[in-house]
Amino acid sequence: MKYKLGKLATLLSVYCACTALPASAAKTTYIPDGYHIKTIQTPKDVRFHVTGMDSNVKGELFIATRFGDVWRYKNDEWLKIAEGLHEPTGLMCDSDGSLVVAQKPELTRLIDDNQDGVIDRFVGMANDWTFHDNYHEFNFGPVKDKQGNYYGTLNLGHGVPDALKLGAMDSAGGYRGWAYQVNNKGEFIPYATGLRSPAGIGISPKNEVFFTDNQGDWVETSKLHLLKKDAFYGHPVGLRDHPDWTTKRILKEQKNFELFEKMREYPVVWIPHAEVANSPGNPEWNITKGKFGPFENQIFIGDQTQSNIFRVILDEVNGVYQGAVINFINGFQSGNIRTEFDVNGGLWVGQTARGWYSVGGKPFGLQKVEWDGTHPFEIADVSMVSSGFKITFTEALTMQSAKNLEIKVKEWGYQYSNRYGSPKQDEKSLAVDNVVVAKDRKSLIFKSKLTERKVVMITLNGLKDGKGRSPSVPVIYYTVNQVK
Amino acid sequence: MHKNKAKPSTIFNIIPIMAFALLLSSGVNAQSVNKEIRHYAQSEEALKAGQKLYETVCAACHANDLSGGAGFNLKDEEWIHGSAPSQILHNVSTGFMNAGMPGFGAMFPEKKLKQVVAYVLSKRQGLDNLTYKIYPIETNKGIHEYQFSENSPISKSGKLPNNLIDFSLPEVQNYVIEFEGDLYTPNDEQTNLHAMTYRNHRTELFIDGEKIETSEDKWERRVWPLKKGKQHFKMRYYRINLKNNLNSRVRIFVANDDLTQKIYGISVSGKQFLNNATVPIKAEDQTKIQRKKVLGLPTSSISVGFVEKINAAFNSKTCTVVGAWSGDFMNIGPNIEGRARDGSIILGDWMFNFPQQIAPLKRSDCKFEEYKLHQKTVEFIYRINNSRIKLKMSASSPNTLKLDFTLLSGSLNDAQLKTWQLPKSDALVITSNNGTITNHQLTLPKNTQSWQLNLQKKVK
Repeated sequence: MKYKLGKLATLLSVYCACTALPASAAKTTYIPDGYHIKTIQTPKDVRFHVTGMDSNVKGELFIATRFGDVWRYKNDEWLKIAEGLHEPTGLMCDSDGSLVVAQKPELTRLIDDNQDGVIDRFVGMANDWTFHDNYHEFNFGPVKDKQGNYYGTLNLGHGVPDALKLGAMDSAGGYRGWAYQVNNKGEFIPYATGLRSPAGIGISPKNEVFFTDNQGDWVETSKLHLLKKDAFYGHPVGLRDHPDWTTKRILKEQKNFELFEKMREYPVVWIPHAEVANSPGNPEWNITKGKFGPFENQIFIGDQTQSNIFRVILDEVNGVYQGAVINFINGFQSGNIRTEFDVNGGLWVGQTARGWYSVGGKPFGLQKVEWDGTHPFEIADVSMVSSGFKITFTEALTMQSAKNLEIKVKEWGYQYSNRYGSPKQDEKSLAVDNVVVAKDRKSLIFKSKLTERKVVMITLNGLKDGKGRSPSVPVIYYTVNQVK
Repeated sequence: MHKNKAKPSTIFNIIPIMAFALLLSSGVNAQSVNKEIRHYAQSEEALKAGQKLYETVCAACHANDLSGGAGFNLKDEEWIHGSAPSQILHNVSTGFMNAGMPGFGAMFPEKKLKQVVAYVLSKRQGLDNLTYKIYPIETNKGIHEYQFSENSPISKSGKLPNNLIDFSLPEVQNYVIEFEGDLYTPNDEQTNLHAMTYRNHRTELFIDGEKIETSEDKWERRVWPLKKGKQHFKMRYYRINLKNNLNSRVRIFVANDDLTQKIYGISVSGKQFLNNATVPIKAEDQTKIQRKKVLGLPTSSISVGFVEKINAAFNSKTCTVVGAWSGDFMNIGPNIEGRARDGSIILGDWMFNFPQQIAPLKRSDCKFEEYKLHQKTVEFIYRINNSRIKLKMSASSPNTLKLDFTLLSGSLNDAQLKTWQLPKSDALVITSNNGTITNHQLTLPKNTQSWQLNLQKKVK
């Protein structure tokens, strides 16, 4: 009835129109010496958007895809072990061998009863929040603490009918914009509120839960927070489920930014928009005991938009967390949303770009960062000292470089409001005083006039090591919550 | 339109085909055939007859809803071999043996084939006779202030043989592009034109010569109401003094009344989007489970597809059975493409769906515990008050679903489970092995430990 060639031609023209649109593959412009990105072949003809990823002590990798499948990667072979889930955005290998998956309507335990590798039983662990079938109502998580409690975060909605909206994102109630705990008795506990798009949750070796949130309304720039019980993190619409608040009261106070400012928790670090990240994923601790090189105990986070990975170095000042953000590697093929260190010290990077742009261009994928043992020359550590900073390097500076190095320091703040993101506020250069390079030339200290609640950007020019190398990233973004 | 290879032609059936084809090739005759088929397309009786033959003979390859399978989609905008009724009739009669479609001229009387063509045409969707005109614009005015005149010079114009709005045609920075043609929308439902664009874009729509105002204008949701059936379509799109070219990916669809379903795309990227959003999941060799958003089912439903081509849905929030349908399982594409705004679509026919449901009459809070997947069955376990219940779902034929309930602990009285509300539906009959069903309610005898419901689809 129709002419086949014609149909094919149309399909081709449609295909070409589509494929011409995404940006060409991103280039890697910064990567430490000794590290490389390896692309893992994902199952053929499968929409493999990796949004949940964990590995177990045996080195097996488990992946949950936005399509709703769960896959196992073992000895370079893929096995589909479950399907039909609702856009899972988190997966955890539990200590008993089961998997825990965060899917939109439920936190679910996946059990392989007959030990054939394929899941037989899907156990509901919690569904006590309200899911309105809205595309943006993700359920991120979980992580498990040493006491056996699980934690997850619930994204706000977008365009939910009759929802409370004070900017872009909304809540029609039912703990949207909350972090939750499923405690070791199996009870669902609404844990904290004020979250927006908290796309990544992680747990530190010290048993503390952290989460990232994405820039947008009521979020000046993306950020990393420490999760505290009953805390408020800045986006007011989640307060509608708080016992002390009502929708009416939130609407009455919606322009009272000062009130919400006083109530809210300040992030551990601000993640400067576009310069570092637009949509960060989960914080993943490098506790590989040196298998991933010199960046032990640092946090590695991927960014869905920028297709990069950055690291976070925590610093504790006056009992308060703050720290440094440093770009690590860019030029990944798609949007980096999940990071996972396996037992061998490889950093797996799960990717998706469906519905949201990513620099990488490819719609989905899986890559891995490997270290070949070459010692890189990079900024190793950053910490606050009295009225200044100590910066440590992975290798000694040359005498010449120590003499000629140039340190530039800028600071800025952000304005908290219902607007979508905030431009930098009161951006200015700070004077750098008393630069002292250590005798071993592996660190330096300098003084500057620091102010609380600012991001300090430190640029180090002229660094060279004995091999003539310069750091791939000489820029540090340090969030000053407290001054020493 | 037949899936199986045709039997070898004999001299007896070749002659009538040739004669028929010869007749159709004459212009005068083609006109009278067009007229006759269009007349059938207005007749409910003829359309019903055409539908009956279509479903018996053509649907195997072209799908019940004409969306295609082994054979092409018969309702979209693409009719490269001719979209005139006489041309379609000619193709049905003579077939395309190389492509595996026999000629049906020898098998059915001409009248029946005309009715089939009328039925196919009545399901027509999308644009036809689409043309475009590009007006290059030079102005300092902003996009929304600029006054367009149809007397403006045209730099480029022509036909769009694929009948899809294509924004990649202009090669200038500032322009107005106009698309004009016939738009076919369903005769039996209210539809809207849905452009996934926003206010910074200036788009105007004219239907049958009249400018139509938007009924909704939000980000990615610019909506105009459409008429039913064939209508004259003109869309004007402005790109004036914009920094970036925002239009190249504008997806334009015909959507249903409440915008929960994009029915078909009418722009290149809209069609591509829906192609990507077509991901049928079928229970070919084992029971399938999907927890996706599904049009017609409440949030948090767990859908089950059986290999017998019958399906059901259990809701994990209410612990009730909220739907059952016959046919293939579902197209999850709309719920896994783009940002996944839209719901999956069942591929068969509802026997019942929410708010009709199988649920205890007295509602109490429930706690869903788990489901277990077997080759042929699915077991759900949940709690209501102090009672723990197992529901085993299975299918014994394309028309029969079995729901086996077992009380694992507690009692019927505690859980107020003695009386159940059953769906009101003309499409099925429900029976129970040990309960009494009256007025769509199931009453169970005292101390019942297990009970069964049989859902039998009424066969028309």
